[in-house]
Amino acid sequence: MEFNNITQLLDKYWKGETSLQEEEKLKQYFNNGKVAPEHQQFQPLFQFFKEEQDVMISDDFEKRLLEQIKNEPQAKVRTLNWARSIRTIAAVGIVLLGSIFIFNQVNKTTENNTVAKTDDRFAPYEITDEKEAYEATKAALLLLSGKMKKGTSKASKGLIEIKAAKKRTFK
Amino acid sequence: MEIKQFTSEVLPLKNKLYRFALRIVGNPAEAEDVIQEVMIKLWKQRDKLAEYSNLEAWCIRITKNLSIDKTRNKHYKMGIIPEGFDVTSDQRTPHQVTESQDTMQRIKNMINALPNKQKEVMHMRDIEGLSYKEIEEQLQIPMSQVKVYLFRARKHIKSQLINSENYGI
Repeated sequence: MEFNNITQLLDKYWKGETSLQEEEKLKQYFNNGKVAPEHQQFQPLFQFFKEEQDVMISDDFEKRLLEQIKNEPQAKVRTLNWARSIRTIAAVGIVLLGSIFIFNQVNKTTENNTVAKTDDRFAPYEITDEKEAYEATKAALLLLSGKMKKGTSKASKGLIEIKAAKKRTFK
Repeated sequence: MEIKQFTSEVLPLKNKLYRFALRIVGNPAEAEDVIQEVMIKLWKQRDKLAEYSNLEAWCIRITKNLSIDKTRNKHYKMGIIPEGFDVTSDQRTPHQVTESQDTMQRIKNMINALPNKQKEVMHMRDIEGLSYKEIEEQLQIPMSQVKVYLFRARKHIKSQLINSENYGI
């Protein structure tokens, strides 16, 4: 193989521009023929590629693997037993229907009790007059704003105390 | 998939997968364990294997993941068992054989020191002889990126070879 040709191919190879065929030519050159002194520094690399291509797994690997595969526990194949399946489905159905019935009964009783209790508790306080409702709302809002005002003044007092403490600490 | 089909379609990939695992874990015994695990996993999924359009790419992906898991194992120590070279049929003198082994080990160290992606791409191209398209599919990396990784890997190896020649590094 021509020296210049190989030099050109090597340049292309380092740039990653060689085709697979050209790379095969380089591998053959470095592994079979006489290598020019100028190229000898790159010979070990192509020899390494050749050696690595021939690396194989142990000879008995396949045999060991197949034995292991054959000994793998097989998934059990179950045949469908119709009588047993029907019994299971019927049992599940009965339990399900029973649960629904009980749930409905309990729900009904609870609902009735709650309504009755609510009525009993609030009946004396129920407001029917519009004016009375207005007054009650006004009183409730006044109570709320009063509490909020109290909260703000307490918070500002707290802030003053924190500021004072900060001043004392970082004097 | 029956055992016969598994033997004819999946098992022939064992050497290629083994070399790829070896590139990542760097130890023949560990690499063989990885391939055994890969094969068992594939066997357990045998009914689904027909669904994969590119079985080889799928096998490479499993091998890569299991190999990386192996190297992450806290008890794992790289290179405990040095890889042996068959010298029984060698006609060279013991000195020549040792020298050659040292050189090969040096090249191997250079390649193993590359960043993972560069190492994997270089392995697929220069050792397995795959096309860019095949590397793209098997490593799940865009083709443009495959070319960049290969270029960088070769450039680095070239400079290392020149340095070791000039300065004996």
